[in-house]
Amino acid sequence: MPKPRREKQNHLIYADVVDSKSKAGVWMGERASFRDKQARILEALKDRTDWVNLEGAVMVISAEPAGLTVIAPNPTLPGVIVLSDGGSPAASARLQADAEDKVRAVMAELGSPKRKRRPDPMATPQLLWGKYFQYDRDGEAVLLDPITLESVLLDSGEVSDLAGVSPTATHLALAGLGFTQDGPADDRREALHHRLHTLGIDPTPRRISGLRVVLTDRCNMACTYCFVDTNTGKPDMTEQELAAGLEFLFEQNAGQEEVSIQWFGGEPTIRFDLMQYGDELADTLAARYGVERVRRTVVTNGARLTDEALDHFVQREYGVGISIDGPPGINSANRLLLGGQPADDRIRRNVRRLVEAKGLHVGCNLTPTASNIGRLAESVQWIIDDLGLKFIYVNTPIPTGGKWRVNGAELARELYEARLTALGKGGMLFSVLDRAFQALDTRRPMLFDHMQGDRSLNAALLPGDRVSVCDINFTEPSFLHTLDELRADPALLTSATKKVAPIPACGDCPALAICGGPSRNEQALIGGNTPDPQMCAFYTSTLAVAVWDNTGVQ
Amino acid sequence: MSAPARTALVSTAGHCEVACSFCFRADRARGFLTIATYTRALSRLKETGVEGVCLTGGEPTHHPELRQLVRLALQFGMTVSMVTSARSEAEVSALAEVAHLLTNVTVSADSQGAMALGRTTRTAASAVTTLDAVDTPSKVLHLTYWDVEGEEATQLAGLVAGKGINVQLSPVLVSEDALRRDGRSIQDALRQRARDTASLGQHLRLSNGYRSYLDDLRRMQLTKEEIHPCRSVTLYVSAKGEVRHCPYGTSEISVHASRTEIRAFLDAPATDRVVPDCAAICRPASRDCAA
Ligand SMILES: C[S@@+](CC[C@H](N)C(=O)[O-])C[C@H]1O[C@@H](n2cnc3c(N)ncnc32)[C@H](O)[C@@H]1O
Ligand code: SF4
Ligand code: SF4
Ligand code: SF4
Repeated sequence: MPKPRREKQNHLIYADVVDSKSKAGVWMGERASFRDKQARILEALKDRTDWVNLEGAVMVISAEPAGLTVIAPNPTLPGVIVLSDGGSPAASARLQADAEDKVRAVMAELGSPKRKRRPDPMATPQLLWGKYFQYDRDGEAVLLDPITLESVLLDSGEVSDLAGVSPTATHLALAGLGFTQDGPADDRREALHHRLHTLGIDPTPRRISGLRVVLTDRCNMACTYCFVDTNTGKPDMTEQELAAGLEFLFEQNAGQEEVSIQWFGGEPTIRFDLMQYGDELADTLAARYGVERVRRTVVTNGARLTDEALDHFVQREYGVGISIDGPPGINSANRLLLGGQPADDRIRRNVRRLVEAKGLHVGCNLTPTASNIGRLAESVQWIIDDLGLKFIYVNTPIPTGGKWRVNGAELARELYEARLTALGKGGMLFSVLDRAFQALDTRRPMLFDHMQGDRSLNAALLPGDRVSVCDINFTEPSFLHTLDELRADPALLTSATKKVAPIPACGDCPALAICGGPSRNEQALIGGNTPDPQMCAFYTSTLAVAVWDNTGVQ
Repeated sequence: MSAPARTALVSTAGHCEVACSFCFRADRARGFLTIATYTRALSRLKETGVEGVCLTGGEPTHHPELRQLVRLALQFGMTVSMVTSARSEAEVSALAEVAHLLTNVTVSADSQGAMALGRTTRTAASAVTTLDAVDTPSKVLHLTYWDVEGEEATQLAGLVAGKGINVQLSPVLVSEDALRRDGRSIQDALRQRARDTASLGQHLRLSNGYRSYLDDLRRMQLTKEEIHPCRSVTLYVSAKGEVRHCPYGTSEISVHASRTEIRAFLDAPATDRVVPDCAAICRPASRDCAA
């Protein structure tokens, strides 16, 4: 029986979505083997969680966030059921995600010998019936509908059925799951637009809810790949400009739950005075405009950290992201001080101070480079074990000099390995790879980089009374507007809005609904409509990784 | 083979601000027990059959996340008790806030002689005030005593009368060296203890268990022999997350070790030997904290 990928929007993952009534006989026959596997999964989970036994299941007890997660073997199917309760929907969701990730990591580690191999992101899928993509591996296959994002796992018998004369049992079963041979293969770009419309997914942003504040272009480091023009001699942001930018942010978000402010540069801590000034002002503005919460983060290279700044971060409950690409050898391949010396020792000392300070959320921003690709899992292991940073955010490579500097397919595979390594060590690795997993799990296209689910945008506030509606490009003229222009014409927010699937090639691409075509920024940086081949290799490979991440289906 | 432990004494902080000079506490590092370590400890202990924890010092009411400590243990299906010296308003209100979730609260006090000896201020009267302010099914006043006159014993009995407060007793143990410095001998100390016990016995009903415990203690002190291997069924968890059979013990395992290692440690017989000092920190069968 073809096994459709489980849908994972609700509490239950790996639950029974196949017609198990008529198939009960088959499943029951396999019961002994999957029960044994389930027992091993639970046992392995016990090693890495705090739990108490329930009859035949475990309840994991967490303090951060506080809550309970019941993990139970599915009695009639392979896989386990995960149910979390954290008191609030947000906390429940976090617990649920944590637990599912742990389950997946354990499953992947245990994996039956046959499935020990990692997904092969290099494999190119074949088109089936003019509309589905078929990923083959060792006789098995996954069928993917690139528009609805439904996917189905076929065993080798079923794969050969498909090549036989229709209708076989497999053809019928697939039809039951919505995979049919008939019907014209629509223009898939059209179909995607239609799908977005049906799901109510709109690419146009409604408002700016967060500012990345570029205080200065000065920097005490000179990283080879930096997308910012640093130390140009241009003036820093002034207090007046900062005040005007924050006023705009709060005014646009009057009565909202949250706005976010991220201090950025160059190296933002060089203008710590402005951060202090802005934080004070933000409090006043939040009260005036009825904004409930201000989320504050800073992105820093960590080479310099004064006691004063550390205290300030703690007091304001900052999220601190430190940019480190891996252990010293790897990091200093691209990240060096202005004078050309490595800063690894200093950064390491400062990370320790940050980690030891209470109340800070400290994470690592890792940029994929030619030095850490090939050693990403190792780098992540070092970051977690040696630096003690458990949250790792992998920057999406931004093209420099007109092209992608990393091998996209390799990056996708590396991210997958690194993610498992992080999970196995109790850490979390966030990257664009998650987009493919989420899209397949929820059947929703994931196309936008800088826009939140509520269609609010993160923009960059720049010195010289300018806002860039793309927060990773501070120079492209079509992205830059003054505050007054934005106030007068909110439609300007769309100047960086992605044109979904802008080129015909996207229509033939399996990753259509998880990439959606190059963003305006990609196009600006590459200098043309044609996406960088490494970018396409990256997105198609993340998808190939995700379709085979069938740890839930076993 | 030691009997499997049913309860664990959990140290909530490496430091203690009460700082009794006769305190025999095993660990004195600074720092509170972290929630992550504690949760791990509960999980690993529960797995091996521990059914209740007793939160102890430092001073548990100083722990910034006391409520969370209590709540978590309950989530693990364990009973929670507490031994505390709470007296100040802040301490008592921290205690009162969680008291209804506790199985038992034991408030420590010192007899007047013990107060003088240990330079403490934990009177029995103030302990009763604390106990009056809390709402738990079981309340215990733990009295560490030395040199108790008849009158003090009468007062003590009056303090707890009709309040449903049980009294637990521990004699102060003065080391042989300290005795010698005072120009006294073990025999002198034992005679003092006998007098104290007699005074207390006139007003409180001493259990047979306690009397035989005193006999054991006396025998140990006189013969200076290790009488028997420890059979305490209470485990100890330090604020840094080390599990020991005995608070004093040198063999320990971190709660963060693998489950197999922890089980092996707990299954192996305890090698600790009961010595007179044990009285100051834990009595066999864990009567300090009836969890
Ligand atoms: C531009 S820096 C500014 C803040 C600070 N100086 C720092 O390094 O954290 C912000 C982040 O962008 C990352 N970054 C720089 N150039 C990049 C590129 N070409 N592609 C992806 N990320 C890049 C850096 O590694 C860093 O994590
Ligand atoms: S430290 Fe940050 S801003 Fe400075 S050069 Fe490196 S990446 Fe760019
Ligand atoms: S990966 Fe390339 S071809 Fe595919 S949708 Fe994205 S831009 Fe288009
Ligand atoms: S009775 Fe003595 S040896 Fe046993 S646990 Fe208590 S202090 Fe340790």
